[in-house]
Amino acid sequence: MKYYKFLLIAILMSNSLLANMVPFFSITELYFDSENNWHIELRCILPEEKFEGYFLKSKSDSSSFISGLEFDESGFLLLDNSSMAEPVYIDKNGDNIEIDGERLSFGPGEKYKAPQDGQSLCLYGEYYLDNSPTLGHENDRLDACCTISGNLKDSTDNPIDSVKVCLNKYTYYYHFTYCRDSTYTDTDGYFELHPLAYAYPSTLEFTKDQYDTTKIDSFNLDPNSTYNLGNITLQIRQGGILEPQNKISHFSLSQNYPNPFTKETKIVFTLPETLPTLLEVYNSQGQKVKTLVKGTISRGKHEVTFDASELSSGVYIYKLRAGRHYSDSKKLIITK
Amino acid sequence: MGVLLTITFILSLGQLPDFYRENINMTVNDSIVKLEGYYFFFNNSVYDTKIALAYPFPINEDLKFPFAISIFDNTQKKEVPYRKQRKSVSFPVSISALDSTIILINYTQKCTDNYFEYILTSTKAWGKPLKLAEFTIEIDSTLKLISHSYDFDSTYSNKDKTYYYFKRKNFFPDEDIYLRWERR
Repeated sequence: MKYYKFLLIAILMSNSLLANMVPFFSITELYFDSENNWHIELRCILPEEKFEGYFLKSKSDSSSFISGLEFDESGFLLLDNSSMAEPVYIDKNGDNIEIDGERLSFGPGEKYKAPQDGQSLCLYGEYYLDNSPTLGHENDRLDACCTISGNLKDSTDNPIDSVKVCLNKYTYYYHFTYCRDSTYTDTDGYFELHPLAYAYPSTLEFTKDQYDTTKIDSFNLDPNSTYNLGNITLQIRQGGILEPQNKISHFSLSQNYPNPFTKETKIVFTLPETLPTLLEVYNSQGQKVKTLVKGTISRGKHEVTFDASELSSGVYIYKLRAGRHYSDSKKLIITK
Repeated sequence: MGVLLTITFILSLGQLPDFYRENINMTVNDSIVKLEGYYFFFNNSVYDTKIALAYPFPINEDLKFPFAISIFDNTQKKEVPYRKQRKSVSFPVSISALDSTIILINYTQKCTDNYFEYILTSTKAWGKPLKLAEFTIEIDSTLKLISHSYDFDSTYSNKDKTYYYFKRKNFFPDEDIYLRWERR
């Protein structure tokens, strides 16, 4: 509140006021009604701003918006086919919608699940599923949470307390790691999380010193659902000391082997931390011919097999980029 | 209303590129302020991204829209077309996966009351501090700066101009820049 007051005072006091740029708008909610008509909620940081000159694209359709649209005093703008110069078809089972770079892809093969009947896809850092849509209002996240519980035990069936349970872990460029939802097990080894039903496969990670880190990947969440995972066993780390994998603290990209090669070669790299990583192969004209790694890769040593059977003889460059600070490239030679 | 909806907006946003640095040069020349801003972004994801950005201005009866606005993608070396909205200009920015881009913005605005303000607190909309922010204020020697919100790191004068400079690291500003000047 104090912050709003400060801004208001600043605006009232000033004759001339210019500002750092800001993200203009986001697609904050998508809902299909019982007749399969789409409704999109946009949210803008600038209340009562015009929304002029934009287009909506779906996989099969596109149109400009009619003129005269504007965000309301809370920064919301509701769109449907009456907002379009020409109707736009959006497939409720899966589509890719875009408004000038603001993109929402959902359905089979896409990052986010399609909303079921009565549900909406809502944005709160990430898209989640909400069983009670709130078009035109702040996403309230009611009917949008679920419960995940379980018991952490060691191999002799004793409960383990103080295990960190982390749902959806991210590493940012400031090199800090962030868990979207986290908790610790109690003295009975029990944990309970109440996260939003994120509309994408989530990962649960269990960590404690002296134990190997354990993960459950591709964990699908639905609103108002309960997931009891039962007993989860953590293995004591060999000798109770850190494994070599965890000692790696540097970035490296090794020369591929064999090199030159005809069909397959191996590329080894190490990461000092978990990072968004790209490993790509370019031809001598600088054109990308293959993507070998694309995703968030954990700290440690990684080996990738490069199948070059589709490529012709020549010199190629493979380039590794990880996060903001790490990049290296090397040459490889294909002989046929 | 005119207030940025910053706090709730931050919470609702998805993954944004990192806005990590800015270099701002302001030239005060009587009742005109020219601004040249370099804005640095990094796309910390493995996917190419495109984002709709807005550059907001206060517009009222006394204050017309800034003029001579240009937006330039310094990485792709091309002019960025913008849309004039009611109180801002909006434009798209594309950044390749794990890559940086620098956006250069120029504009000019008339300041009728020898007062100029630049909202830095809108940086909060990005949810992270700037790693580095540098500001240079260039003021005609016929004018005298009589108040300002930030302490300067250095000052330099020659026959025609006075230059004020300050920089901040790990900058998550709680205060905007304001300048007030008068004729000598």
